[in-house]
Amino acid sequence: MRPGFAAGAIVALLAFMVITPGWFLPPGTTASGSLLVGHLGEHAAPESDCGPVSDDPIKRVTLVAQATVWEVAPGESFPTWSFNGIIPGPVICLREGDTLILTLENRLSTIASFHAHGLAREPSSDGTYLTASYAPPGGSYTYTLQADAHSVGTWAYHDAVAELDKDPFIDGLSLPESGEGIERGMFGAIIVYGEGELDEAGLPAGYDHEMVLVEAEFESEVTAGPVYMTINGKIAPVTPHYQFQAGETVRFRVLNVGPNANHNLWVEGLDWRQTQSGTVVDSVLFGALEFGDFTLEVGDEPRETQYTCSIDGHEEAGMHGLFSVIA
Amino acid sequence: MELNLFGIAILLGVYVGVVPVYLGLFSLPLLQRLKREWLDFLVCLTLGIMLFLFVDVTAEALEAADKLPAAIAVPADGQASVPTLDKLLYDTFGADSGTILGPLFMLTGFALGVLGLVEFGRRLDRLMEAGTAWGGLFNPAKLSPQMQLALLVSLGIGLHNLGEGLAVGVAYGSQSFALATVLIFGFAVHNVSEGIAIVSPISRSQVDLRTLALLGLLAGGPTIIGTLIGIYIFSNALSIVFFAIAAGAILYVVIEITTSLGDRFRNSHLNYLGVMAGFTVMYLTSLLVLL
Repeated sequence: MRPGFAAGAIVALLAFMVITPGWFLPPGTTASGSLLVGHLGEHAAPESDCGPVSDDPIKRVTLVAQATVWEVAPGESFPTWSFNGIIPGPVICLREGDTLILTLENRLSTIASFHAHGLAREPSSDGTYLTASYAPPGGSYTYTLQADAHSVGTWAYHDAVAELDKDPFIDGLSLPESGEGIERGMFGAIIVYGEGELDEAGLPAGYDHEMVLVEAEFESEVTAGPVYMTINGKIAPVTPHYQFQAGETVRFRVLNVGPNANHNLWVEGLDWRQTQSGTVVDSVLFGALEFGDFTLEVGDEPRETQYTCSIDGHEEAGMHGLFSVIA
Repeated sequence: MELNLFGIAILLGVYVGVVPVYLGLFSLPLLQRLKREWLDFLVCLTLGIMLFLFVDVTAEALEAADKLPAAIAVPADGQASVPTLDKLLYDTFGADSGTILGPLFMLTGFALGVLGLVEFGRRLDRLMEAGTAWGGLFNPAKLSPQMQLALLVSLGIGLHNLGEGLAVGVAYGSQSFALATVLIFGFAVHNVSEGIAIVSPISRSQVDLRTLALLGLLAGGPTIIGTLIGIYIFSNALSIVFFAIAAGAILYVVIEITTSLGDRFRNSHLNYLGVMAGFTVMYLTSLLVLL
């Protein structure tokens, strides 16, 4: 073989390596662009992550437990697990009285489950190890849950079994240790609207915007690096930038999915009114796996401020972002 | 360019396995300028590369066998579903069969890999003696022992690449694009050294383009089969068998290369450095694949 030919072939092959990824990699595999959420333009109807919630009493949702390389900030990523490739997983939106039929497809090499807070279910839909309600690696499992009158509000769902098939029991104890899924990013929010909370179109009535805010920490054994304190899976400077128009009423659905730390969410000059109880607090202090919804008036004065977790070290670990009120 | 899933599966296999191997193969003119003792060094480099692949793929096979019980055990109320092939095992042999079937698949695949390549090697020997062309693909007159070694290395690497294709296919098929991306580029870089491993034994021979093309296809082609299987019919049981066959085949190749070097291996710093270098290159490039 002539060296010239080999050199030509190498150039052609390298060109192939450079050109073809555009054909098989979906565009925008890494999220970028504007971090602005909230009031982005004129809107006639209230805006929420759920969009119009259908009045079909059966809601079907498919979640895929999968390996994911998660980017918490540009250039900072780690291999982990998620539902549907995003952290937090998709928001599940229900009306009081709905039945949720949830299919979990498991693409992990360990068992995985869907464990929901706040919804009624039989043990076989509990998503726990002892009830054997989990999907095997490469398989799936279907859960049936009901949103009853007690379910109205904000809840979390998460995996509760991943890795239990490896070392199921703590030495000397007969109960299995809780799974690794939640600490690796397998969690998301459930919203249940009560009677009268939605208008004819299925949109929230009585406020202008609805935001889901999920607090979670990723420990060093997960990230193989620093501890990240995240808002909706991101650390500053790529946490959401909340923007509202002066005079607007906003409902925040706040979840602390842990797995361990407490968080105290605070915005200067803002009062948080717990929707169901009416209690007003100046910050939202939640332990791991506490959730709730809050209605707040953003005020009439345009301003630019920060939201932050006031617990020591959490702001430095990424848990803060911008909060703007525009004219 | 718009491709359907089938087209993408094939392109992924070509990208991960075929093109990188050819990139390595075309280093041949460079290798042909090397001095005699460096050629032994290169063969030892190949040996190091194969040793790493053996460790790597054996670990994969053992891990997959370990997981089979959980993979085929279906919870009693029958709400769960598992991949069709694994479900078949559950239906035929029962929920607890995984603990026996896992090791059984592992050992059977391993035996198939070793004995399959022994048989292949014997046939090559016989063809060389008889002087008949084998399937019209090779001119047996050109099948020097070095070429035979290159052919076996290609086969071993090919079986290993089936597993890499499988991993990429499963990640892509489950829409884990970020993971798939890491796997795709990691394996691609990794596989260039496999091309070099194939041509090292024949760097003193005259090699025509057709032979080179065939060697590359043997080593890289199975990646395409892997991505197709990974995307369309992932099965835990099947992956044990694939990894175990590859482990067996590579073990055979390792032994063949070692014996072909014979006495020249003895206390040669350069040759042992070659083994170390091959192992190190594979290890370091495998770190590109984060998992």
